[in-house]
Amino acid sequence: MTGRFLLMFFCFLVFLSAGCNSPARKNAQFLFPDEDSIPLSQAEQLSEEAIDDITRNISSPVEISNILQRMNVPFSNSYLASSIDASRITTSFDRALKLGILGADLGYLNMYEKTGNAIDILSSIKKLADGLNVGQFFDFETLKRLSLNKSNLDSLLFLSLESYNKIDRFLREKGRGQLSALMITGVWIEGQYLATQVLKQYPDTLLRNRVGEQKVILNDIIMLLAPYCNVSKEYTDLCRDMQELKAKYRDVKVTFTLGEPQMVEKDGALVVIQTDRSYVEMSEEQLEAIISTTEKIRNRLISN
Amino acid sequence: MKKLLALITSVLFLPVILTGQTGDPFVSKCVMSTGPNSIYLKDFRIQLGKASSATDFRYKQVFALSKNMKYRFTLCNSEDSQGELIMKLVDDTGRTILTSYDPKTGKTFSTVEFVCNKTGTYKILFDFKDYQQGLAVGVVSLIK
Repeated sequence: MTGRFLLMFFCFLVFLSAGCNSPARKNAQFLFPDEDSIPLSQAEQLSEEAIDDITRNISSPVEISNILQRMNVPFSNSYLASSIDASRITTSFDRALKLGILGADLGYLNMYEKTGNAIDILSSIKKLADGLNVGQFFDFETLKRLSLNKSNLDSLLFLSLESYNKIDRFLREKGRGQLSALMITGVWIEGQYLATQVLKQYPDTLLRNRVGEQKVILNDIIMLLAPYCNVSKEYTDLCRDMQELKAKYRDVKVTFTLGEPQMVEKDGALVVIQTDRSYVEMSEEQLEAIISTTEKIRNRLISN
Repeated sequence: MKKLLALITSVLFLPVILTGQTGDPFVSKCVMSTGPNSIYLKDFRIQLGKASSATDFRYKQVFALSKNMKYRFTLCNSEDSQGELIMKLVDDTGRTILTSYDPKTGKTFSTVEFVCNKTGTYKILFDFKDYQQGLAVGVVSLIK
């Protein structure tokens, strides 16, 4: 009899705790800080379809790291946002932005197989994600284990990026799109910082063009942030920063020529080679202005 | 008493299992099949009902692709999916760059590689062949 009573009591406790930890339940109640929830009337309304048409470039640091490896650029700790102290960050704005910045650093570390160094960043990411109530999307124990075991780098990269993709999806579905926009902005600015800093030391046409072509992606980032620019001073400042960077890109010309794609079948797969070409016209002065403005913005964002 | 403890322990861990800390096995399996030298970038889980007619592919996502990068699209159908997943890629001018299905020959490809020479925002569209109902995953990966 006592055993049955104990069992029922434990089941009741477990039921309660499971309900309290459910993200859906949290969202339905009032557990998010006020700043997490922006009434639609305050945001410049974009249609859902328009927002869905804006790209969310979470994987860009992985692509940039891939270019750096092709250039034989050695890894450097100096590019990382090491000054971020996650335990001192108190606002959702900073948490989301820095979650993106550290996500980009994690991608860079993983691509260079510096997985041992990733442990500290993973700990910071965990704190930031927990602070935003999205920690459930990171399997930190597995990520840490994979970081310490270099033999499974593909799984590490997959789990890291998949976690960020899930957070992005979750935040948008739960009406917290402004945090998703901040996270994407953080990822992008850190990737842009990495590319421009490397370019200062290792001039390379491929990387230079990549930086020039970011004019296209920056426009998407600005559109993503646009609905929230008047929400608070920190959003306004970020939007102003992005507009300042956009101004540096104003005279950079990205042109295209069109061509018919070439298709071949190889080993059972369809291989399509795009024959369109894009060209970047960017002077040294324009590039220098983009590099210094990127550096200024990124360093302001990582200061606690 | 031992049985009781075991039961309590299993019940205590039940929420951990139910909240789904691990990834979707279907997605993981598809990622595993993307082949060597590929780096996962994004996955799309597509679940659609049967449509009698449709003017275009019904599932759309936007993705930035970069010049000088080689991407691989891997399409994985659920075992009990009635339809076969097909995709097409459309550039920012609205031009179709590739399709995984040739309606003239009826041939479909579950793996499509794309050598990108123009950075931009692309639309990735998915549907099931003949607008059947189905469940599938599409994975975008970067080829090293």
